Amino acid sequence: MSPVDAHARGSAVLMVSEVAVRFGGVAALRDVSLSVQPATVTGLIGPNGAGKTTLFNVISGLQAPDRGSVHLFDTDVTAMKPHRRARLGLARTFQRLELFGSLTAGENVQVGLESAVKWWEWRHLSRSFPWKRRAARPGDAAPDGDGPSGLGSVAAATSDRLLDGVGLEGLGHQQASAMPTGLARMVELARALAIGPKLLLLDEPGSGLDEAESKALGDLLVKLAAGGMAVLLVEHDMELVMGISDYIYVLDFGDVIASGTPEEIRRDPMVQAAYLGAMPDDPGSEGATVTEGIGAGTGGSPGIEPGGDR
Amino acid sequence: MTGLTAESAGGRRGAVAGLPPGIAITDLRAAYGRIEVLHGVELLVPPGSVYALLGPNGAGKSTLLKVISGRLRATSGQVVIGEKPVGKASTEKLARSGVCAIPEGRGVFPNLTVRENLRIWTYRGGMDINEVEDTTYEEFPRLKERRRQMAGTLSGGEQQMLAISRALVTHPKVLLLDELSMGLAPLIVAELYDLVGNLARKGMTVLLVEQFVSTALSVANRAAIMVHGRIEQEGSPEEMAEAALSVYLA
Amino acid sequence: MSNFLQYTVFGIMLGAGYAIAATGLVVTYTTSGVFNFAQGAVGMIAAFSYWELVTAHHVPILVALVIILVLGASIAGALVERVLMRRLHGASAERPVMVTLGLMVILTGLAAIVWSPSTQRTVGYMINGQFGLLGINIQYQYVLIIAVAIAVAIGLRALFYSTRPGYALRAVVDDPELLAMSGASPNRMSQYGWILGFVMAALSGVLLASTQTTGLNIEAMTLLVVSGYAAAIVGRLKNIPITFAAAVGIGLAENYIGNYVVPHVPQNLGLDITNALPMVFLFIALVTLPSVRLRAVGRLTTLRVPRVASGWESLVAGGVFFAVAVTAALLFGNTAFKGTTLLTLGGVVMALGIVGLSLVLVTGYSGQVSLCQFSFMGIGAFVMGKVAGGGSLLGLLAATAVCAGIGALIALPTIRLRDLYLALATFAFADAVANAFFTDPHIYGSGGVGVGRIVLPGLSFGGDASEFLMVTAFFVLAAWMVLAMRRSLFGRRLLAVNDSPAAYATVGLNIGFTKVAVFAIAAGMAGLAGALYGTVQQIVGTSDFDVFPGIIFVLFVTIWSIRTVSGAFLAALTYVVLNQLWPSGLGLFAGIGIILIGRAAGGILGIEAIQVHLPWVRRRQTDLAEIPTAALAGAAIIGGGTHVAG
Ligand SMILES: Nc1ncnc2c1ncn2[C@@H]1O[C@H](COP(=O)(O)OP(=O)(O)OP(=O)(O)O)[C@@H](O)[C@H]1O
Ligand SMILES: [Mg+2]
Repeated sequence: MSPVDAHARGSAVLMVSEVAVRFGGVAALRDVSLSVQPATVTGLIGPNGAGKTTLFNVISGLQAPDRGSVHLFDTDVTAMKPHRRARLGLARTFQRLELFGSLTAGENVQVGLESAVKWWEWRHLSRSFPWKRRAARPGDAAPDGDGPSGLGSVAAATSDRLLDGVGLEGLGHQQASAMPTGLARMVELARALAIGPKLLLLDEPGSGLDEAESKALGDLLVKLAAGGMAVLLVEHDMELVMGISDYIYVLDFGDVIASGTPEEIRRDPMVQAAYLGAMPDDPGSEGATVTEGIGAGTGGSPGIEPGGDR
Repeated sequence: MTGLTAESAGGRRGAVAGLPPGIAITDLRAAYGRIEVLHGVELLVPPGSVYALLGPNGAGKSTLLKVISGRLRATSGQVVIGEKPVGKASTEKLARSGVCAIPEGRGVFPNLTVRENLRIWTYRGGMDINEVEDTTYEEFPRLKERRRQMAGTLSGGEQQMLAISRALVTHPKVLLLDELSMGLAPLIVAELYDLVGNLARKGMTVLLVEQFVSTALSVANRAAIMVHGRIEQEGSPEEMAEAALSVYLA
Repeated sequence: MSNFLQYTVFGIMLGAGYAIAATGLVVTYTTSGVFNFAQGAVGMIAAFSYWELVTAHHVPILVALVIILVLGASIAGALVERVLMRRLHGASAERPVMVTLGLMVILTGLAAIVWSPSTQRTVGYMINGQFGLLGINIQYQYVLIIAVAIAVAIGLRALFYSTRPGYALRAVVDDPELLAMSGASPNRMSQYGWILGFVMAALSGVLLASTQTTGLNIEAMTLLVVSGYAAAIVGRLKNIPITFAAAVGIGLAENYIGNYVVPHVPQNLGLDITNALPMVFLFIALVTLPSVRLRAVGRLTTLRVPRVASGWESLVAGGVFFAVAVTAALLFGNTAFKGTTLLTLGGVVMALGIVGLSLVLVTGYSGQVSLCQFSFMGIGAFVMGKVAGGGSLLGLLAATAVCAGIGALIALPTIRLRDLYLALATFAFADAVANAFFTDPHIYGSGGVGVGRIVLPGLSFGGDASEFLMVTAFFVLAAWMVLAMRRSLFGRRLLAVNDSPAAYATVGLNIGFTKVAVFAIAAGMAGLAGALYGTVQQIVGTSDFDVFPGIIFVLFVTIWSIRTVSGAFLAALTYVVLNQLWPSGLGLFAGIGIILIGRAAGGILGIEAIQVHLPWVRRRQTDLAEIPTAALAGAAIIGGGTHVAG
C-alpha cells in the first residue's frame, strides 16, 4: 500500500502527487506523493539533500515540477503563482532566514496581516490621513476591524498579539535585521501565521534555537494544530519532530522511503540506516530502546538528545 | 608587529613543544556599534583540547568566535593564541597562520562550484588539489556527486558539509566551530563529532559552540557556559552537563 | 556583394570593440558586484590621452599604450578601489551605482576642461595599411582590434574559470569575510578586479578611437559603451564568451541597419533610428533574457531606516513650507537674477523638487534605480505643450498619464530580472530619448516646444508669483502624498519587496505588480513635474532633459538623502542654484559630493551630528543581548484564526 493510500483519507489540505524535479543530471525529487490532513502536524524528515526544501519550493510555487501535480484545499495549484497560493491559505518559512530586514519585527508581521488588502483602494490610502488615523500603539485594545480607519490599529494590535504568541513580547519596534537568529526565526513564524494560513510549511524552524526555545516552539505548533491548522514540518531535531508529529514521511534521494507514525518510523530499519543512525550491535531488533546512538538519551529517540539527562 | 606568525602559532617556541597553541582570553569586551555584547570574558582553552562553549541564544558565543578569528575588533581585553597576542592581526593573516573558523550558517561561496570552493580553501597552502578532493569526498560522498554544482544551489546540509571540509583539508592548528550541527541530519552530526574528536587527537585545539548540549559534551574534554556576555561556569563536561540544565531551565 | 562583405568586416570590428568594453563590464561586475557606469568615461579618457600623446605629442604608439594602459589605467583602477569602493562595504545596494555614476560625471567634466570641445581631434590607425581579401580591402587595424578582442575573451575566461586567483577574484564578491578566513586578502582581490576592469575600459577606448571618423567627442565616446550593455546583459554579466558573441552580433546589426535600413526611412518619422539602436538592442536583450528564478537567498539588510514623519507632522510642515513660499513671493516679487527672475527659478526648484520626490519613492523606498526621470520630465512637458495649447489642466493630467504608461512599459520587461537591469534599461532609455527624440527637429522643433500658463475659469496663473505658488502647492501636495504612501501599507510593501522577494511572494503579495506600480507612479510624477516645469519656463528646449543633467540630479538627491522628502527639495535647490552660478561645474560638484558622502546611507541629512532631535520623538532601542531568551517558554499561544479582514 502506498503511503498516499494509507494517509489520504478524508479531505486532505495538501495533496502532492508524483512530483518529480530534476536539476541537470540530478533527480532532486522522483515521483513523490504525500498528503497532509487538517489539524495535524506532519513531519518530513530525511538526510541532507534528500529533497525536502525542493519539495517545499514546489508546494509554495517557487519551483515548477517537471512532472506531477500539487493540490491545495482541493484546488489544482500546479501552475499557480506563489502569491496566489498564499492567498488560498498557504504560508511558509525558509531554511535560511528571509525577513524584511529594513522593517521592524512588528511591521514584518503587519505586511503579512495586510497581504489581502489592496493598497490602491481609497479607504486604505486615506488611512494615513492624520485625522483618520487612530493611534496604533502596542497595548491598545483591538477595536472592531470593520471600519476602514480601524484597520491600522487592528493590524498593529494583532501584530503585537502574534509577536507575543511566539515569545517576542515588546520587541515589535526592533529592526528585524538587528535581531539574532533565534528571535528572527520567531518573527518569520509570526509573519507566516499572520496571513491566517490553513497550511503552514516550516523549513527547519528549530535550527538556531536553543533548547528552551525549541521546546516552546514544539508546544506552539501542537496548539496551532489543535486549533485546526495543518503543519508540515521539516526538521533535523528528532526530539522535536518525533515529539509533536502525528504522521511522518521520510525522504531519501528524492524518494519517499517510509511513512507512518513516529513510533513506526523510529523502528523502521531503512530509516535508521539512511537517516537516524542504526544501532551498532543489533539493527532492526523489534522494540529495542535505542540508547547506543551518538548522544542518545533515554527517551528512545535515537537522534540527538538535547538536555544533559544522562 | 603584533601579528601571529606561523612559528608561534605552531607552538615551536611555545612552552610545550609539539602541542598546538592554546587560547587565552582575558577581560575581553566587544560591541556592535554602541551595544556591548561581551562584558569581560575570561577563558582558557588548553592546547590540544576540545573545548565546548555552551549557553542560550544571544549570550555572545558567536561574537566571541568572531573576535578570536579577527573578524571583529575587541574594544578592550586580550586574546592570546599560543604565545602571541592576536592584537590587530587581520583575519587572513590569522587564517594563514593556522586559525580556521567555520562561521555559523554561511561558510561557502555560493557562486562557485563545490570544486572551486575546495580550491579556494587551499589557496595558500599549495596543496595538491586531487588529494584535497579525495579527502573531502571520502568524508562526504554526497559532495562528490555535486562537485560541479554551484555551492549556492546545494541543500542546506550539503552547504554545511562543504563548509566544514575546510577544517578537514587545511590542517589548521586552531579550529573554531560555530554551530556545527546546524541543519545537518543526525547521522552526519554523529560522524562529524567523531571526526572532530579525531582531529583533536592528531594535534588541534578545538573551540566549539553548540546548541545541543549532550552532543557537544560527548566530544569535549572541557566546557564552559556563557550567559549574557560573560563566562558563568567552567569545568569538566560532567559538571557542565548538570549546570546547563539549570541555566536553560532558569 | 562586396559592399555586404565590407559592412560585415566593419561590423565585426565594431562588435569586437564593443566586446572589449562589455568584457570589462563583466570583469568588474564579477569581481566586485558593481556595474561600472563609468566604464565608458574611462575609455573616453584613454582615447583622448592617446590622442594627446600620439597625435599631439608624437609619442611612439607602444610607449603611449604602456603609459595609458599599464600605468594610467591600472593606477586609476587601484585608486578607485582603494579610495571609493572599499568604503562602500555595507552600503545600500544603490550606492555603488551612484558612485560610478559620480565618477562618470567627474571624468566627463574634467575632460571638457582639459580637451576643449571646440577643437577637432581625430586619431589615426595604430597599424596603417590594408590587404585584399575576397575582393574587399581590410585594414590591418580591424584585424588588430578583432585579434585583441578574441585574446582578451579567451584569456579572461581562462583566468576566471581555471586558476586559483581567478576563483578568488570571483569569490570576493560573494563573501569577502569568508575569503579572508580562507587566507586570501579580499582587499587585494577587489583591487585586482578593478584594475582589470579599468584596463579593459582603456583598451576599448584606445582601439575604438580610430573608428571615430568625425573626431573624438566626449559625450559620444562615453556613451559608446551603451552598445556594449546589451552584450553584457545577454551574457548575464558573467559569461564572457556569450558576451563576446553578442557584442559581435550587435556590431554587425548596427552596421547592416545603418547601411541598409536607415537610408530608406523617411526623415520626418520623428525618431533618429541610429541613435535609438543601443536602446532597442538592450530591450531586446532584456525581453529575451530568461526570468531569474525566485530564490530564497537569506540575505539581510543592515541599514538603519530613517524615521518617517507622522501625518500631523507632515501636515504642519507642509503648511509652514507653503507659508514661507508665500512670504518669499511677496518679498522678492520680481527681483531679477542673471537674466531671469527669482520667482521663475523658484518655480523650477519646485518642479525639480517633484522629480526628486519621485526618486525618493522609486529609489529611496523601493530600491530601484531610475536614471530617466528627466526623460519623463521632457515627455511630460512635450505632452503638456501639445494638449489643448499647453495651458490647460487637462495637459497636466495627460502628461502624468502618458509618462506613467511609458514608465510601466519600461519596467515590465525588467521586473522578472534583477534590479540592476531596470537601472540599465532606464539609462538606455534616457540616452535614446535624449539623442533620438528630443534632438529631432521634427519633434521638438528647432526652438523648443511652447507651453503656456495654466488658465482656469476665474483664475489665471499668468503672473510669476501666482505661477510660483501654484507649482509650490503641487510640490507640497506631492511631498505629502509620498509621505502618506510611505506610512501606508504600500510603503511597508515597497521596503519589503526590496528586502526579500521570495518572502514577499509567499505571504501572498505580487512582486511584479508592486514594482511596476511604484515605477509607473514615479514616472507619472516626473511627467507632472515636466508639465509644470513647462508652465514655469513657458518654452522648453531640446537640451533641458539630457542624460547627464538627469544623472547629476539623481546624484544630488542621493547626496542630500534619497530616503527623505527634505532631501528631494534640497537637491532641487542645490541643482538650480549651482546651475545658475557655475553650470559647467555642476557635474564635478555632484561627483565629488557623492564620493564624499560615501556609504552614509542617509546622505547629508542622515548624518547624526546634524540631525534635529524632535522632543516628542522617543528613541527606542533595546539591547537584544539582554533579552531573557527563555521568554519563549512562557509564550502565550495564539489560535488558528488570526485573519484581519481585508
Ligand atoms: N537549483 C539547483 N540546482 C542544482 N541542484 C539543486 C538545486 N537546488 C537543489 N539542488 C539539489 O537537489 C537536492 C535536494 O536539495 P534540497 O535542498 O531539497 O535538500 P534538503 O532535503 O532540503 O536537504 P537539507 O536537509 O540539507 O536542507 C540536493 O542534492 C541539491 O544539491
Ligand atoms: Mg533543506
